[in-house]
Amino acid sequence: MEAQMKRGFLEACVLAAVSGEESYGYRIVKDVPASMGLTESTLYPLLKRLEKAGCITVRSAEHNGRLRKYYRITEAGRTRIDEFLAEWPSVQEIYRYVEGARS
Amino acid sequence: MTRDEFVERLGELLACLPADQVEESKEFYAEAIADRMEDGMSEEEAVAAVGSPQAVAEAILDDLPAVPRAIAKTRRKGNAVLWALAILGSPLWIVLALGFAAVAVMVYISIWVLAACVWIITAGLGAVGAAAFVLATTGIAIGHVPFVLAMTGVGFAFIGATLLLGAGAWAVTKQIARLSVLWVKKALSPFRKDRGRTSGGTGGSLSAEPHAGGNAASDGPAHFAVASTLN
Repeated sequence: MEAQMKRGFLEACVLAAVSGEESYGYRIVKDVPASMGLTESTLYPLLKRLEKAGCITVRSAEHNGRLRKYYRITEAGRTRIDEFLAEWPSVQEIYRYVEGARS
Repeated sequence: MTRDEFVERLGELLACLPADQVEESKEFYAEAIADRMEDGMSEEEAVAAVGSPQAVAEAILDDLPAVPRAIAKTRRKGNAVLWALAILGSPLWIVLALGFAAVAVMVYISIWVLAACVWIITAGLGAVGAAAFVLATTGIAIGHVPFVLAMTGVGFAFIGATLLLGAGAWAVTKQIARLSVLWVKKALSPFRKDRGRTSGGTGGSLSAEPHAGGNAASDGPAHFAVASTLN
């Protein structure tokens, strides 16, 4: 998948993964569709970027005698998901155009 | 490799970064491995699933802006190498850095000189208008009615032009302020990370209308995907 497009998809997927209840690193990796091929080394910079942009909040909480970081979406993050979803019609338009050109 | 070995190795590979960032990275990966072990993997499997410390460190460093990344990657080969390069390369990089800074500052100044020009012309028109009124009062003194009327008219015309141009100058100044902010961002981009999408877009808004957007079609489908990387 093309790198820039994939980055946008990944961002939306991670936001979606923390949009219900809060989630943590490993669970996000498991939750995001396998076709995205999300790994921790991709997730880590992405989470930091989203946090910096104010799209998610982070808190540490104890779990089994160790600290685990939990991530939760913010209003800004929800807005970004909405923007992502709003692009679907134009993606479809492009898809139809490419598909039409093939035949 | 055990979890502790992995984390320690990662710390070594990231030693070029500030201590708090290194600690944060180590915690993140320690958590990832611990969670996998809780999920039923053996320690060995869990460490392997996260990837090699080299690859992990590489991914973290790759996310830095250009200049800190270059420094970090050089420092990884030892501080001595960095200093040697910095000193040996100084005839080159000092000149380049000065050139870069000079160009950046000159562009910034040019942008504002443009604004100053518009204001100077405005002020000039205003001064002519004021002078015309002064001449009109001298006309009153000598009692030459047509001269007074003509000068008052000229005065009003120039003051009107001043107000019009002043409004234009104000608008131009606002645009230029925006431009110069964009320019500063651009000039600092090799040193600073600013990926979290600045609203309104960066490159495009240089020429765009003050209130762009609204037109979903022209915003483009790849906007979401591209915007996060462009910056």
